[in-house]
Amino acid sequence: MPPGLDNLKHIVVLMMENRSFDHMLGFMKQQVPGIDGLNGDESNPDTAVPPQDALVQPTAAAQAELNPDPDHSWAGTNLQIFGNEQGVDHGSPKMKGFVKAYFNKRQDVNHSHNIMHCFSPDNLPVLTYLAQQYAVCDRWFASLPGPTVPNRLFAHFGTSFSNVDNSMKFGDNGKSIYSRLMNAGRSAKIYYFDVKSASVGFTFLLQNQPQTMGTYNDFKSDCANGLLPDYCFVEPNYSDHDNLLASDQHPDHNVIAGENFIGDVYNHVRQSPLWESTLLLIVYDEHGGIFDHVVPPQIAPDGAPDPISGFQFDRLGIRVPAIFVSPWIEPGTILHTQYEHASIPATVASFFIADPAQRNLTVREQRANLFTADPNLFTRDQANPDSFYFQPRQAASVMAAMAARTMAPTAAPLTIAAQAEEAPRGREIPIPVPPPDAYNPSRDMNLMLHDHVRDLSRLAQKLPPKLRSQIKDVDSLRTEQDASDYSAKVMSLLLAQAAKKKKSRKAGPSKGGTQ
Amino acid sequence: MRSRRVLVFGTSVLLLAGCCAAQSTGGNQSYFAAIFSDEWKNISTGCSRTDATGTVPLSKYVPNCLENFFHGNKGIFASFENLPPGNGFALGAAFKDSELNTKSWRMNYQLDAQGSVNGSWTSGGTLTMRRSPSLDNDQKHPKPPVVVVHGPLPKNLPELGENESTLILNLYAFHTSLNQVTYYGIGPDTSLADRAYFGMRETVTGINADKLLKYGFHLLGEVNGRWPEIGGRHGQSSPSIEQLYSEANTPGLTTQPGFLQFGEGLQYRNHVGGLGKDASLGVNADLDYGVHFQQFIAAGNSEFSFRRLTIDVTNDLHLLKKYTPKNGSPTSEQIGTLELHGWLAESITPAGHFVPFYFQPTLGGGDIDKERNLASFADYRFRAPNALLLRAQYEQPLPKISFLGVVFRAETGKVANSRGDIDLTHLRHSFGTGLSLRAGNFPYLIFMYAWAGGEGHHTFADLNLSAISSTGGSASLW
Repeated sequence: MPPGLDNLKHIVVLMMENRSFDHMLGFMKQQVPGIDGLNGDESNPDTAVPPQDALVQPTAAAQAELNPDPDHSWAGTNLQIFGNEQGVDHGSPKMKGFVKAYFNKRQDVNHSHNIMHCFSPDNLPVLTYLAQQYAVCDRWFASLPGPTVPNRLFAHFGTSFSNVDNSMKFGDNGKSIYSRLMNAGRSAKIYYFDVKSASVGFTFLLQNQPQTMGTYNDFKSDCANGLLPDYCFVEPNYSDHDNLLASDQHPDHNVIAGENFIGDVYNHVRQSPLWESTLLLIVYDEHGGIFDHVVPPQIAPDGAPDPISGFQFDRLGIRVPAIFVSPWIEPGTILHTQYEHASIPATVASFFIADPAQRNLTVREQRANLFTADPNLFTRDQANPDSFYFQPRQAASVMAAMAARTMAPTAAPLTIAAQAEEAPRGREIPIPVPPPDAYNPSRDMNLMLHDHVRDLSRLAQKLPPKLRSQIKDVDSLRTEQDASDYSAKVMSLLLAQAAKKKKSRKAGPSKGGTQ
Repeated sequence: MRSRRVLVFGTSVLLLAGCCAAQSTGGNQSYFAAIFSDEWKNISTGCSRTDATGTVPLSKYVPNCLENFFHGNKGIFASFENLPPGNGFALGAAFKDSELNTKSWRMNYQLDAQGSVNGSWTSGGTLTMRRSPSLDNDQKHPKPPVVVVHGPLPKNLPELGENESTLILNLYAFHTSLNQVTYYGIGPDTSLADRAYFGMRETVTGINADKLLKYGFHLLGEVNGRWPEIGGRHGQSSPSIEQLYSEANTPGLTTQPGFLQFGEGLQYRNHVGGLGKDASLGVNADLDYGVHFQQFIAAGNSEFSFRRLTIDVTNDLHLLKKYTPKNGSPTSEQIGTLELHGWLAESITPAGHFVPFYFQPTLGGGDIDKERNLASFADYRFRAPNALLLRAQYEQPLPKISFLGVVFRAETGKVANSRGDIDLTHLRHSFGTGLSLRAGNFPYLIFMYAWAGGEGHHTFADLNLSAISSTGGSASLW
């Protein structure tokens, strides 16, 4: 057994809300080519006539972009994956319905392109840095194509009890991972943010409340005092209330507030005397209707279909970010193992409950991969002694400015990084900024794009001269942006022409008959 | 006069609505059309008896359909509100939009109206604006709000998890019409036999602000206009107010001027404590202390201008003990909560001025703000320009059946006509005990029997809707 597993005594899961993998971490591929992220040319057709390609863009804003809330119901997610709400695979390209589904929410073509906006890594320093310093998994899928509650139930119970909608689960009947652990003499707890930010666990964990329910303040003091239970589940703040901003990152909640919260959870786990015996998993409940390019995999049905939709639970939901944090993980680890939320109770039960008969694994849990069994996770022989933490830029700035003034009041202002370097507590390290050319639409086309536009040019020769005249001369194209615009234009004309021909073929016989 | 109040109220609500509606979409469908079409689609789907697979079972149909009328963050929803004592529970409708954001502001607004069976009603709108951090998308000079620091972690970690807004602004305009408020006269020595009723209508419109300072301190400010109106309440078991009282003993009974009200305050909120590593008992304390100063300036030559100082201190002490399971890691468990609360209101009047009776604080049962003080006494039992209340309450879950808990409460307080009479003599007492219904290790519903004070007893239920209210709570977004 790896030393990391030998030392493991606490598993902490932080589950955020409604963001897809590509949306949060896809553009990290520019820095970490090993992850299955974005190349920058992924797109979805919009609903304009003729349709235009909406490209992924690293321009996502902290808030005010995804309002109204994108559709992430079972039917809406099917539309995003298959192009139809029934989830029927007609063989057409998949993951092409996100813009169309978002258009349905507001009937605004320009606004519907926001669903393709993704975060630049430098705008998510906490998530990006944790992904770089520990392990990022690019194959963690939501448990079903649908909304929050059934996906979170999978994390708590290993099943959604045949539900694909947000019906609440009342009562526990000893089936949750918390009850299973308690019955086996273990400790387990849900730390919800505060009373005004309710937890999905309120309705099912009505027994053993003093032992199984705590607030985020309890989490912080339990971290500091070495009193984390064997397993715990941390919930962010789900609502703006009093002076507090929601920190769950659910659209349109402020993403920075969520970054801060993730950083805070990490800081407290990192500072805890239990650091070397704790594994922190940061994962999102579902994709929230936001673009991801990976087609969710098929799985064996669990034999309990949803009575309303008829869904057999025979495929997973869309990919979500997942990051494992432990000093026993080699920095820069990338996991390609397939996980889903049932992996959480399955792993926790298998790891902490010695008697297999007491684990009470659901069908999905029995089939789920266990992250404690991942050979690529705990690969270090020694706990990594590196130490870093997150703090607000403002605080760092003030602290550093004070230090700078003390040292040389008349000296020219130092950069923030240089000021922090002088500070006694530690050294601010550079924010993970992508290489200058990571996203540069004015960069010259590479060879592949050069060939690609010429292929398109040959296809465009089949268009009528009137349409051909709308297309730029292929030899005038220089940059990646030129190639992208050219590609979108040619494809839209070709598709429109093909549709026109198809229509005229259908109309052909009757037309011929009249002649 | 009344038409002017209606005009002010209507204009304020319209301005509020216009301000909210001002966000242009620049798209093919207006913002509000999108809200309503989306809501209609949800209702059509949620309340359909059939779907692709056949008839929807009743057990699914009813909650799915109801959900659409109570759950959501945009559109029209059913709303409910517990009106001040004597006026019942009000039902109505609300239009809300909880995500009208810009890059740097989070904005929620709600327009609502509710009425109760005794004819009381309330209607109005609020717009809450919270300053929020925004991303700097300048690729050359990125300035993410969080930085990474390499080095040993400090003992006191930087605060990142709370995400307190640095500035909150609330714009509001509402009208409340209460048909029955109880009155026993002014001062500490009034009698139950002197009970009378009055009706109260008030239009209030204004703005308040909360600026976050350092170390848990908040600077508060407010300015608003108030237009109260007092009327009689006839045909009840007790006389209408004008039948028992006069302007001489009830200032403000015959005329009610408009008021311009300013307010300033300092609030301190913090959380301290925890269960130490080697300790078997500990305390998590939520501290909330506030000092507020208000100026009520009556219109014209009225004699009702006054100032008020309010001090409010609440300590919620969550008692912890170490829980050590048979085979697992020890952790903390919260075994009970002790709430210690102190409240002092003092009014300062210039020579020849009076505090109108309808703006005087009350103790006993519930007050106009629905706060329950000296619970064993009748609602609004004691009224005066100055008041003091001290309360201790302990709530503890029952072993094995922790969805139930027991509650004990002790209160003492007094009202006084002059500030000099506010002291710890001649206090009125109230004791209570009861059961709580709990979720998340927190009491959501408390049934209590309160006694002492020599005026009989009271049985009541207090419902905490904070996590499931129509204006907040997580349920609105999932």
